[in-house]
Amino acid sequence: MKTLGLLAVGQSPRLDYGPVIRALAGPSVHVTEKGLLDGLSREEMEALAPRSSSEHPVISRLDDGSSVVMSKPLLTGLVNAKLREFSAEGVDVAVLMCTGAFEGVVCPKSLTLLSGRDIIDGCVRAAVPAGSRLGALVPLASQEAFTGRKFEDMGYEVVTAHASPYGDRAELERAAVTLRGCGAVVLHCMGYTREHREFIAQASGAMVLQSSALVGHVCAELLSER
Amino acid sequence: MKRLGLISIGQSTDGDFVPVIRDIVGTDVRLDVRGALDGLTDEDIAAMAPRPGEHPVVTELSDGRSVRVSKPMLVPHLNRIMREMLESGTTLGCLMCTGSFEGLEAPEGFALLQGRQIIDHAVLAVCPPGAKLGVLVPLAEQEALSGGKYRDMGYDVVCGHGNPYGDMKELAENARVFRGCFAVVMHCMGYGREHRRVVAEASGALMLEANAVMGRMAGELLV
Repeated sequence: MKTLGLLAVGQSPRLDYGPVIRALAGPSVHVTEKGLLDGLSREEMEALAPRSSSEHPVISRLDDGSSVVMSKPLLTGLVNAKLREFSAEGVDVAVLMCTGAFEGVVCPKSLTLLSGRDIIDGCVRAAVPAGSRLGALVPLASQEAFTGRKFEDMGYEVVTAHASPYGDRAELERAAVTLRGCGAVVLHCMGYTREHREFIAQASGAMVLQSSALVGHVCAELLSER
Repeated sequence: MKRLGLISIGQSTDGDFVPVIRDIVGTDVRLDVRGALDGLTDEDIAAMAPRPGEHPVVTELSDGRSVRVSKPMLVPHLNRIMREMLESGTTLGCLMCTGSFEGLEAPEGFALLQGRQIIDHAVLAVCPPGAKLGVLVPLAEQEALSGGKYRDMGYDVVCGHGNPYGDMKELAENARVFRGCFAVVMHCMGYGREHRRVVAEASGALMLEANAVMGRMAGELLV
């Protein structure tokens, strides 16, 4: 049996996407999780805060419901350490569960590392013809411009909206109104769940691509021994 | 009940992929299966033979005969099927062929998943750049075109062939060429779960089966 390792940017296990991906992977793929912040104390996490406002920040939610803002460059060493652990444990394929990119990652030879970002971008291109009106839902208003531009560069006519996966229903309702008229909508964060998907599909009438489920589908197909 | 259209380039009983898709999408999705050559006579089909120099597609008729047809001549039939599907309430369809077709026009309100887009982008999604990639095609003469496509995407390509309607022993023998590959892409909708098992066993590589990837993508969009 092959093993899929999910590397969360925050703490593991992730109750939002872990069960979704396990269900899609089925009994013939073993799924294991690690988080970059597993085992770190509050002080150690605070030491990962961005040193200046020019550093691109990453936000992650913790098990206790609070969230933490971290510097991406400071996380690279933690990514590499977790990949070495996965490799030592015999994991075949690891996925960095983030729709953003990390620089300076070094993956051991025995392990294949896939990026959540490549998986999502690939699945969008697979399912949505270039030139279509594509909705992109992101957690924060400040992420709309960057993500919108990425999909515009792929040849889509993009509509962006924001709603935190950990936020309230009213925010999601507003986003769904904005996304009406799109042929397809991508939920551009691993934190969105089946419930978000269902709500956006019903309220916008669009086909919906849920990031975590897409990771589950393509990795299950690659690794299953059916 | 949700509906999913499956459009083959042959006759609609030519459906090795139907059980695979059914297995993935479950029983609460109604499959609307149609073929570009449905209802055509032998004479109609003979008139669709590829012109000299055209890249042919090979497909099967419902009586098991295999025919070569011209891609451009299939397109009006595919466009008609999409319109007919939409009229009967199917709004999502899958073109069950990994070839590329020019001039496809989905009517307003109908979304088409194309085999070629699905499989190529699934490869890009899960195979790291530069990886050693096996490409399995039905016929030896298809190796150059399909292999070249993935080489252009930046992969270290190894090609092999095996007819999905042919001998499994021969497929197992041929698949040994894929030993050491990170993954093998089964580049034809005619390959099913049994082919996947045989190639995985002979090669030790991870697998991407075109029709299963299509089924998973369509199923996800219909959830």
